Amino acid sequence: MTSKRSTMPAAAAPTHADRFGLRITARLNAGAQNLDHDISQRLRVAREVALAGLAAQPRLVTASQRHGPVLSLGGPISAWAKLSSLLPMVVLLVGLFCIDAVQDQYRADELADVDLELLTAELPPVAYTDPGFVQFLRSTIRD
Amino acid sequence: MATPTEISDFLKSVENRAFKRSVYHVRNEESALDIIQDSMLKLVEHYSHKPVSELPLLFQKILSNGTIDWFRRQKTHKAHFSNLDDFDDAQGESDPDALLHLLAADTLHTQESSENQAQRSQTLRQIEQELELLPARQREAFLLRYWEEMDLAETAAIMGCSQGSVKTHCFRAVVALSKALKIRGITP
Repeated sequence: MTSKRSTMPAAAAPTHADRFGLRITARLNAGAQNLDHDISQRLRVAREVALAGLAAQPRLVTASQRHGPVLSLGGPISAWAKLSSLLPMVVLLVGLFCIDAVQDQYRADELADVDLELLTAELPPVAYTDPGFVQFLRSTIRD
Repeated sequence: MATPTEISDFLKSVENRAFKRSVYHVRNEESALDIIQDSMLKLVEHYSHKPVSELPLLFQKILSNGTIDWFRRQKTHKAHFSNLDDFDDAQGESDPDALLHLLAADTLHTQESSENQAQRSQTLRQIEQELELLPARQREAFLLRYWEEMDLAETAAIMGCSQGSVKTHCFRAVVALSKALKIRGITP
């Protein structure tokens, strides 16, 4: 309650209504200066909380200016943090490699089964010229 | 740009009046404290880069909006509240002569009598009760103009209405308060 603006309600000479209003608010001022201790303390805390937010704002600006328009942690990044950020990429590459190896193995096994069937079965020579022969063998193996 | 010290000093200078003003509106100290805290946070968060001279108007605007938001939330929860304008009645349309007549006697008693502390507190409480009974818009205009010492244009900007409406609200508030306090035998 230290300072109030000097703008008077009336631009010209104050009217009766203005004088009445100012007398009323003078009374209210007296009441406002004698708030309960608990209320005063809670207002002080509210003010300090708000100002704490003000103190936090410059750090955010500095971080964004330092690292550009990217997600920033606001401090130096450690070697472990850098390594851990690479871990998902490593896992992904290893996974793709394993999938490719398994697929190759499946294809090799399938061809080996066909070859084995051809070598061990007693077939007429013309059977090798039949276009549906390989397909027949595959379906037989699956069954 | 206002410095942290300037903002702190400003908030310190207005927090008591702001709290009382919110209490007059919402009639609940806890809710008033919540509104004040939200208003302070918003002022600091969004307008700390403004010059300190602009803070009073911005803070009063934020506070008024916060109060209106509180009433809206209450309406949502309880459906008790009507729009602030709905509280305006037609009984404040007294002619200026009647006002001058009512106030003429008041001007003769500008000197405080030898009231003791208890009597002054009681008088203050009665004034506050009459203030709380005013329609919300009248109370807002009255407090902004005479307590926060905003000029017409600033009050109109905060309340989102014309300067003529501010004058009308203030006039009606003064008439209503003058009548009510005279009935109670109070000379402010």
